[in-house]
Amino acid sequence: MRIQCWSSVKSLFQIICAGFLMGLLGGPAQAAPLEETVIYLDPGHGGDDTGIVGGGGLTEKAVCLDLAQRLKEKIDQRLGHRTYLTRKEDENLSLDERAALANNHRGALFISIHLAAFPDQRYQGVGVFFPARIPHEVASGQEALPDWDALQEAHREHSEVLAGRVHGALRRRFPDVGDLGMHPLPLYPLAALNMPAVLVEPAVLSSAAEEEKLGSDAVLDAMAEAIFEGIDLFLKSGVPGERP
Amino acid sequence: MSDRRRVRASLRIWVSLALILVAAVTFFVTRSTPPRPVARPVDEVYLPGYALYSESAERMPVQLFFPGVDLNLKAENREIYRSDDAADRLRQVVLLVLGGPGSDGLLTVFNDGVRLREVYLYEGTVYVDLDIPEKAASPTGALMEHLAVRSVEASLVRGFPEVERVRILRNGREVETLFGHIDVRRPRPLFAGSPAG
Ligand SMILES: [Zn+2]
Repeated sequence: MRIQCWSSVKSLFQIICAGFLMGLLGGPAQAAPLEETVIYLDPGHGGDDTGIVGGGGLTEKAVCLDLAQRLKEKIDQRLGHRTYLTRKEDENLSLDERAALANNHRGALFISIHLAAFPDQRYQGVGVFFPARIPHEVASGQEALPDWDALQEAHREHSEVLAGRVHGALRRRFPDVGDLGMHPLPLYPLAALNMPAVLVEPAVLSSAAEEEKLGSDAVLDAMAEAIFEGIDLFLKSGVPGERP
Repeated sequence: MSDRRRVRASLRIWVSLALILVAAVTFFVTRSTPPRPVARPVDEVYLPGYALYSESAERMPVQLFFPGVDLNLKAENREIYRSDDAADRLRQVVLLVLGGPGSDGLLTVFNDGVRLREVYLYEGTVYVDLDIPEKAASPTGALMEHLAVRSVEASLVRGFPEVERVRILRNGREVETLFGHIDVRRPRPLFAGSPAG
């Protein structure tokens, strides 16, 4: 009897500890109900991986986190959806862990935020990318892709529409900077995401002019606002010909 | 000879003279602008560091692919030393790609920190083992990283029928991405309609 009582106290303690740990790790304490829209924002790089470093010392990892935090605030306040960041601070997080977090918490959208770099100062502006279709039978003798990679296939069309919405919103807000376009790319780990997923590069950090702009609160806020508009439009209008 | 005929004859002479002049100017302008030197010489991008060829060896033409200013891959005609060993020819191609384009209007795709460890050819797959130091982990964004991978793939697959696909390794190991964005886990043939090249 005493043993049974002790084991139930122990399990209760384990559950409380697990809940506490989940809270500390920043993920949702439990999977969201299906009808709830969970948005995952993924600030690129972090920890030892600084990403691109601008000539003035600005790092991609810091700008991405700043943008993601601003975007989360806007979504929380104005759309009321549950929004999570894959990383909330300057920490190392593998690409697989980012995908697993979003998949395991039934994310409905995944927005990875990065910056671009080019070997030439002429390049500036906005680029938005969505997962390219990876051919399953690419050549004779090659094995078919495992399931982990096939998850995005069902969402590719939505990913493309989402990319279009975000790209359009950024272009409308920043019509005078360059347009690096919207392309399907073999992005890792976006092929493994079980939800519409895009990678946004709202500016080119290797451009001295753009690095200077990224130091401004107003510009960062306008970028976050544009990405917010793209997400909002996607959620409201969905894919043409489909129920959102 | 009628007036009209005379006019036509003199017009023909003037047009011919103009064409000769344009051809001569083009010839001298292009001759006097030598191609920009290769960004990095081969012995700088080859990690083992030993000389690969004697300067007197016979040479053969190859086509390399680099992004143009519009970020689409463009062919550049270059030369390598002729060799009976296929892996040897492919090694030279990768070294030239790492070294960067020799002509204006094309972009270098790998930064100075990236060097070649080795190239192997096995049953149609070329394994390209790159030395990428930790500090050079993320020098680029998604699009340039994609273009770097495509430059290597296109330069190897398009010019050499024995190459079916390319597998890029980092520091001797299979990796998911070279710089954190683009999937390089599987040997990939060039698939038609791919963006940016
Ligand atoms: Zn990045």
